[in-house]
Amino acid sequence: MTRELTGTSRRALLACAWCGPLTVVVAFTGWLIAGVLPVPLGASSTAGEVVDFYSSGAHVPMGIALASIGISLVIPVIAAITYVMWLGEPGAPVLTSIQAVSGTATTVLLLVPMLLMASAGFRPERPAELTVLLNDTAWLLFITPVGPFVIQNVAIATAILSTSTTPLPRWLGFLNLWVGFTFTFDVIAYAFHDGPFAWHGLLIFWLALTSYAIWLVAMGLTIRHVIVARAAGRDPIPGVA
Amino acid sequence: MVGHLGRHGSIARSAEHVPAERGMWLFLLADMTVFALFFGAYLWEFGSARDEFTADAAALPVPVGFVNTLVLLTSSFLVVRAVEAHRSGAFDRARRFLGGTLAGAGTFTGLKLVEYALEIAAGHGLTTSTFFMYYFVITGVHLMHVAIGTTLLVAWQRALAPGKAPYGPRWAEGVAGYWHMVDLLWLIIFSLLYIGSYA
Repeated sequence: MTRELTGTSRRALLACAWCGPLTVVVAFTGWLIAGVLPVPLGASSTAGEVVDFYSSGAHVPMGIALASIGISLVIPVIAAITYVMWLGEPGAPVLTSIQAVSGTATTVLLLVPMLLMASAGFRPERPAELTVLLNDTAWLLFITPVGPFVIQNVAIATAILSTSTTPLPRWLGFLNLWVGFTFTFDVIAYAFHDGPFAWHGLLIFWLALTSYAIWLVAMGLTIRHVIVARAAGRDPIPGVA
Repeated sequence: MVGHLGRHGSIARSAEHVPAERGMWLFLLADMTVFALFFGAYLWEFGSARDEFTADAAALPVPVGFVNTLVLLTSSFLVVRAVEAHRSGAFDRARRFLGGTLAGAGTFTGLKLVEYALEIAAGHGLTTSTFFMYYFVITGVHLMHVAIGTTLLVAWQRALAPGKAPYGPRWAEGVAGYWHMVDLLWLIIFSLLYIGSYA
């Protein structure tokens, strides 16, 4: 079995890498259409505000549905990361496996909340407390299950920082550690309805959104760089086999 | 860079030598930037509710916080000595200094948990007031850093044992840098939350 890329597999992998930045563009577009951005509903929103948001028109569930497609583009990114890690992991691909499994879980944890939000907008004339319940569940499911994300970040960082055979640059390992750190405390969103630690707060939603977007763009573009450099017969990182 | 030097590698100390590696410094800077956001949010709300914050801060056991400050400063000094010993190949001595650093980490964690227990017993919690929200979140995230730092220090110390392959000096410097950050962040936390609330 060869680990090198030829023809179709190289082009497919390049497409996977571009899915990183593309996820950000499509998901943000969907959220802007839906009105989730620039200012999302918060943990302090009243039942009236929640119902008003979801009953403001078909653009809400449709925008969220578009965001769910954007978020699905994380799947090819995880596949590309898995391949590049496998390429560089000496011996048994243990860290690669951890990354693949935890990364797969993250895609589900991103996708399901979007579908719950879209469902909330599907029949907003239902009793208000049910829409509030759907909205709370969607947002808490979107923000707080950070475990798989952090495990994925740590697996990537460990693979990059502890081996000299990886084609990925060391700064990307440190970036993964930082991104993982910015997620760790998101679980405290369960305790607050207001302030910077509520789900819509600066240090929860906005920080995680920023760091995850940076992560998607950085992972995607770095993997693209690795593939292009290999195709051109260049070593992406001088001094590393 | 560790990869190039090998686990036994050593570097000549020259004027150009920058400890650890560039990526590590960027990570520490980014990590502290998140804490800067925590501190900024704290100060923002402190400014609009000084009396309330001061009243709550009075419930903190300042002497315990002060002892912990001394403990971390001492452990930071010991980690410097450990790096020096590591660089000069005196692995046994480095291991002893790391033992001291780890004792400091353990003492800090123990005292912090006692402090939490006292505060919770006095009726303060994560959601009882804005001040205690910041107090528990900021010191909690800091304590998580203490735990990560402790894990790294243990890995460093264990690799120095006879018959084991020690990590390269850059790795040791990186861990030491992380531990200094833990210390530095605590100095800011102690200044802002324990003492600054009276200012």
